[in-house]
Amino acid sequence: MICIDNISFKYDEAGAYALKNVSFEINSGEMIAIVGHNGSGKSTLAKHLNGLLLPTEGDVRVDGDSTRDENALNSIRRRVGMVFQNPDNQIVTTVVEEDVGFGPENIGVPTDEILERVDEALKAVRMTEYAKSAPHMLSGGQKQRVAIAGILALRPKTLVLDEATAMLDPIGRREVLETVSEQNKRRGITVVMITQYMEEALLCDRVAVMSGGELKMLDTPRNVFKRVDELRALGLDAPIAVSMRDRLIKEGFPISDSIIGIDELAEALCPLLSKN
Amino acid sequence: MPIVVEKLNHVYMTGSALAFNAVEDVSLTVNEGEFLCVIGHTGSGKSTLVQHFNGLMQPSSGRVVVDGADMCDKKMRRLGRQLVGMVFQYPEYQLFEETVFKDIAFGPKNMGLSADEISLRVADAMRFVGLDFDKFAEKSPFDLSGGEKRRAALAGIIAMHPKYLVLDEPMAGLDPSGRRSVLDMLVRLQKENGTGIVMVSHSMDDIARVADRVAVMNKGRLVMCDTPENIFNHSDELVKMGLDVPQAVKLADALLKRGVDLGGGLCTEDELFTRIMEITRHV
Repeated sequence: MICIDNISFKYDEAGAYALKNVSFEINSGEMIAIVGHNGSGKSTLAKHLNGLLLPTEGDVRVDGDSTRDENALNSIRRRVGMVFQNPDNQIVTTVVEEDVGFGPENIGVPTDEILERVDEALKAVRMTEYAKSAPHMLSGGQKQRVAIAGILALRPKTLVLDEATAMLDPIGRREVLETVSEQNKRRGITVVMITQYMEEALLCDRVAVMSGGELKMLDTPRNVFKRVDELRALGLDAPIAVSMRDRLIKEGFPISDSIIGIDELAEALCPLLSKN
Repeated sequence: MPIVVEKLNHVYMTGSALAFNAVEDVSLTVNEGEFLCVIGHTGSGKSTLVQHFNGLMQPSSGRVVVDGADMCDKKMRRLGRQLVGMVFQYPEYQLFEETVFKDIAFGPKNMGLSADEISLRVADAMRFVGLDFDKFAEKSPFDLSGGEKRRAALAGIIAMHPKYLVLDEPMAGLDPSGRRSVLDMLVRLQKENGTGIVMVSHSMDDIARVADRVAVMNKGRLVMCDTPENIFNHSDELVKMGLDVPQAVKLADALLKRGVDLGGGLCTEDELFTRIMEITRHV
């Protein structure tokens, strides 16, 4: 569990707060989205989860260990792995399997076990057949999956994705999202997804909405997307099923205001649109 | 006159064992004042293709003619660069001057315009992208927010008054309201100034809203080029190519699967909403 305990943060002393009095808990095994406009503080918050940034005030505790505790920091970073936006900035070697083994090697894992972990991690992201390939020959989605494998090889409890799909094409996005959901569902890895895409937030158990460095909402996607007007005021958008739902309700369609998915909406509309 | 692409081929690393045909036999016309979107998976050749539009890349065979000027001709290429403005991915990384004013003025200055004309164009371009002149002109571009930087970079190209504007993923990394403001700006540029826009993008919802035509690249080839309504009618094929369809099309498809046929040609939420209202009035 990651406990974010009333944290505030400034990049420089004279500047404005990038985060202001943010408090919430990320539960083990959940998949949580953090959304917000550019400059809302969501990436700053993400960098606090494994001590890349330390709060100016307040504390972040990972399984009880404060990120301020220098002795705990190495272990925290092993438990909370991060994947960033640009896959090209995260790959350090010229062969895929060496890249995935880089992390475990750095923390002194014995060679036999490194090999075992690399195999396991590549299998988890379905990139085994590219083990000997050169990373620069891969597509964006494949590179991003290699980056995720590199983190999985450290056997983290939590995976933080900081807009990890922003630079990918549609298939790349699908590949990464499927990989991440699978890690969450099958292996119980906690997933924190910082994203600009509201459709990705729909895949999560909970959604945290940030604006101006503050936490504005924290709830299930169903409840968050009942507050569309507030979301729009915060510079965000609603997925189509949600905005269509609201427009149709306004026209008197007897459908539920908790619909968030396309199939759900189609199911509800079907009897109303059929001629009989 | 249009941009005419004739039987364009581009081979990377010609003659080596790694020779790779990135663009294969593409013929395409970009009409004056149209909004053409180019979609395709990573590595489909779409970026390579559009970089030929101002002679930045040279064809291995075939040709590109901009407004009558052949981009294979070195003298004509200079003209091509002025006619066709090119905005790369993350253009804010290319900001370099001390002030926003100087950065935007760089292109017009290179065109040999007078100081008065340059000032006029910078002020105009800043107004167009929504950057307040008094507030931003003397600021360092590096002190701007992400969205402001993106707009400043766009202003630098707009100030050159290109006849065509080619943009590679201009909304990548922006939040929903930032995306909308960049997109609205491009539409205004097209409608008010008659600028032809070529936009490479993965965002099918945005494309459905603004495109006159959509060109689909797959493995180096141009496989379709048509109105968004006709292109997004091919959901299955697009998904097979690693692409996607707008959310509105997904909703229409989900209804169709359940036996409700709204009829084709619905790519945006507004279109879908209007059709649903029409149907229910007749039920």
